[in-house]
Amino acid sequence: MSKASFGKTGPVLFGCYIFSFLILFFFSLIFPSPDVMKYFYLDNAFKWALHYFIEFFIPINATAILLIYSLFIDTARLNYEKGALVRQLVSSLLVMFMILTVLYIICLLWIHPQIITGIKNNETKSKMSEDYYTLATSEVLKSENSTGEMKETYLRSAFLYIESCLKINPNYEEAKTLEKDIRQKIMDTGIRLTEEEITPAGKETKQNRDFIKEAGADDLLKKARELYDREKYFSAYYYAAMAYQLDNRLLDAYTLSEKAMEKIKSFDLSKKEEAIKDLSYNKKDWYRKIVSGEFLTVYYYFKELETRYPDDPDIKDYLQEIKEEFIDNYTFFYDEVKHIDYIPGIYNILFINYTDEKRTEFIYIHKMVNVIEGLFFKDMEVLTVSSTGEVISHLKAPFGKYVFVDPSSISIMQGSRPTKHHINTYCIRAYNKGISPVDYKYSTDTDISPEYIVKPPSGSRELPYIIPLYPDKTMLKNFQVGNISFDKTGLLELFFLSLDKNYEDAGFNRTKINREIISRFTLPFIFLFISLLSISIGWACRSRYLARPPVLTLIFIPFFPVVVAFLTRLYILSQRILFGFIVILLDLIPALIICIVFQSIAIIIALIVIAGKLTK
Amino acid sequence: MKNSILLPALLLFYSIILLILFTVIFVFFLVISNHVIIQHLSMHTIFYYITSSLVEVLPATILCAIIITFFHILKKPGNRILSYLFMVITATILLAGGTMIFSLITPEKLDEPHTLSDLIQEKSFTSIDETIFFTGEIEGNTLYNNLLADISPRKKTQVLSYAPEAYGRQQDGNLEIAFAGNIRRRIIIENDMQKARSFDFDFFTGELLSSYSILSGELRKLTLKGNVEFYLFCFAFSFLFITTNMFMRISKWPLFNFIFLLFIITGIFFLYKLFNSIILAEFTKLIPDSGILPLIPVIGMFILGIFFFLFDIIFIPFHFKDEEL
Repeated sequence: MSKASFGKTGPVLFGCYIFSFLILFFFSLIFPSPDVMKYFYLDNAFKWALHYFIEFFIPINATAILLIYSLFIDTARLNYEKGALVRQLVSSLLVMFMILTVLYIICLLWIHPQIITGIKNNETKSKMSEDYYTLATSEVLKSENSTGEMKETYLRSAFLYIESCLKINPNYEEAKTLEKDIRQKIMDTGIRLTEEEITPAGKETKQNRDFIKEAGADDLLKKARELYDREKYFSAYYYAAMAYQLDNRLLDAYTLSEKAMEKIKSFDLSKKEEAIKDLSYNKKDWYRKIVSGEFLTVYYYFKELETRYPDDPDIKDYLQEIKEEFIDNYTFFYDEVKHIDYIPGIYNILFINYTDEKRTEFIYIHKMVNVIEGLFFKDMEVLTVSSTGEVISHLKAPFGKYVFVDPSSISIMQGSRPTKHHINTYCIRAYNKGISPVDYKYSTDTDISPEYIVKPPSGSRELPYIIPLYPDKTMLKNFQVGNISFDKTGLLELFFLSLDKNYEDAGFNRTKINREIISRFTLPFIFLFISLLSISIGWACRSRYLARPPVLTLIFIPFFPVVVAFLTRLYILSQRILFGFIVILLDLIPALIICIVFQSIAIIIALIVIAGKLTK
Repeated sequence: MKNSILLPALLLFYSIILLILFTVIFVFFLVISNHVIIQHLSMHTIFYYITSSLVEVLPATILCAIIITFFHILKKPGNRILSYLFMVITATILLAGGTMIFSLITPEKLDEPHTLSDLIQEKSFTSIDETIFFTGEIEGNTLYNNLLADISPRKKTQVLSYAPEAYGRQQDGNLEIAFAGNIRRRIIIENDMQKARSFDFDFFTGELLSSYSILSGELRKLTLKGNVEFYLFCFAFSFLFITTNMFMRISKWPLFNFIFLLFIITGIFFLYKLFNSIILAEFTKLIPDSGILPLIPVIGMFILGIFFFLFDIIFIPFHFKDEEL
């Protein structure tokens, strides 16, 4: 197409895009998603419009081209010499089609999954906001029916909930009114809110995570002395080091930690030296690991020493001590997971965690959330069966937390291959907050603590509530079962997932993923093919009116994309079926090769048709 | 005259080509959507799939062939009455004859029904409704080492359960899986191959295909009866869609004409769906047990066809003067 002609038709093409986007935007605004609150309407409408625009870009673009070539070309000014039409009408537009195809690929690969994630997030935020509002209302109602301390407790939690609700959705009018109402009630009752209570929900977890720092240094030092006297040097070192870290002025704590370390070092020097050499042991590293609570790392370090020096009584003693003091109590607090219901997550994860000739272990996770504090799970089950078809163990845990053992340590698991990834299911409630962690009282409430439906044989699991996790934690989101869609996953991610052997090892068939890949892979080709075909059809079906067509026909133009959408969707469906079948029959890579060949032939045919139409 | 005589041959030619294409795609669709393991497909099953697909896609094939033939009429119009007459006769014969023959050769059901090993992959999770199960080993209709996960939202004490064995058996035409041990859950795999176990259609295709399937389903139902209603339906179907030819000449802008034609045809499908789901139900309340009820859709199609035909004759010239098309 000559520059002059393009100058005329370019705006038509982009005009069609803008017009379509606006129609889609208003459509999304008029018919908002019922799962989204008013506050998110505008943002959501924009995202839906973008989603639809990318989804229907092929028919929108085809309609624009059809209109250009059938209505907007000034045929009287064209040069009809041999070959001149192709040069005038197609050449420069072909370059633009290439650019548009690249843009379309970018949209499909990166932008579209982002938009879908954004839409889902708005839905989750709306649900969370409404849930917090409902909880706040319910707490207010409870407070109205109670007196004294109970009333105060209810009002405090109502305030917390409504603050969380408003944090998500600051323009929630009903919530604003309720917040004022609660504030008034609090003032009337004479309650003074602490800064901590005013802090919204998310921050509480951090406070509990750092509970040790809140404990008194003196308490820790006292405990360390007591343990040192009982010759529990390892524990003494831990508490003394912790006390010194909390208060650097406590030189007694430092001295005690040094003394305890000396005792640890002296337990069998020759073997110890070997261990140091083998395991790149150094004091600083020890210190960091113990203080930061990486008990499992330390535990595995001693396990490794034990396998190397099985007869060493000191190693056995220290191992026992670590286990009793730390690992058996290696827990996490309910406060870390209590808001899991209100955080967007991934549901229904099921996978084979481990399998060998003796046993297979399945893990089911109802909900998984990934937040800054870590990876948490809700309603988990771990079922292990033997190769003879007997259930070896069946654990049910209301909550779980992902824990990672430092890569510098060498981990050993009981009866399985080693792994550094674990799921800790031992969730507890902590009371007496602010007092030394030693004096913490632990509650093993049935609603939050794990329990074995089928208990494992004694000795088979040394750490019964810490489950080794064999697949990589980043893979877990891909192990969803049920009615799943890959909308939120980009094409490249899907492709790598399909090639990942761990996906199949976890009990998943690659067929569905491969079908999705090939179906998305065909789209840019289909886009180019339909665009080229639209040139031929548009030119062949160009208006034969000397002036503009009658108004009645022009009024119908907005319906063009709808009809074209039906046609293009049927064509896309036929391609999905055809290549879906080929991918099942031959696997992904051969199917991709066949697809490229097939689509290239289709595009060449479309180009030949254009040439045929324009050289007549 | 010569152009009109050629039309039945063209219609037949396009119908054969499209029938092959559509059947292949539909067979692939059945295999994919029902998760049949391709390596387990027997010749008998493939034959069953092909014949049942032929019946399913025939009306769409004839319709598409008619639309393609419209372009020939536009290029070389011939005589209007004769062209329509020849096309209606050919389309009716193809539709009625094809449906009868294909229905006759299609086995009522699979002689060797699918076993679990044809439908379930070993060592991978399979989803049916809200139950996910994993099977360690499959032998025919027996599954060994099964893990079951009930992910339905209803309140339950545990999601995972384990059954060392499970058995599949034919029950009321469906394949039912019963698990050994304390597991009471049963899983039913519908044997009706026309019902896709899982296939995600977008809104546009889903709506269009569901409207089409109502129309083609009606045709299949009438085929079983094999009475005059069936032939009348075939005739009304062919007549209505051939008379839509007038939309190809309604203006001097062929693109508008073609898109408008497709719009009308899609509209007819949706109208038929609406008619079947709402209007016919109202008629049934008004005149229950009447022999005329099954004929109402046929009459409707015929009246609409007559309207298009008269409009064509009165207002629209048959010759569209253009050398490009």
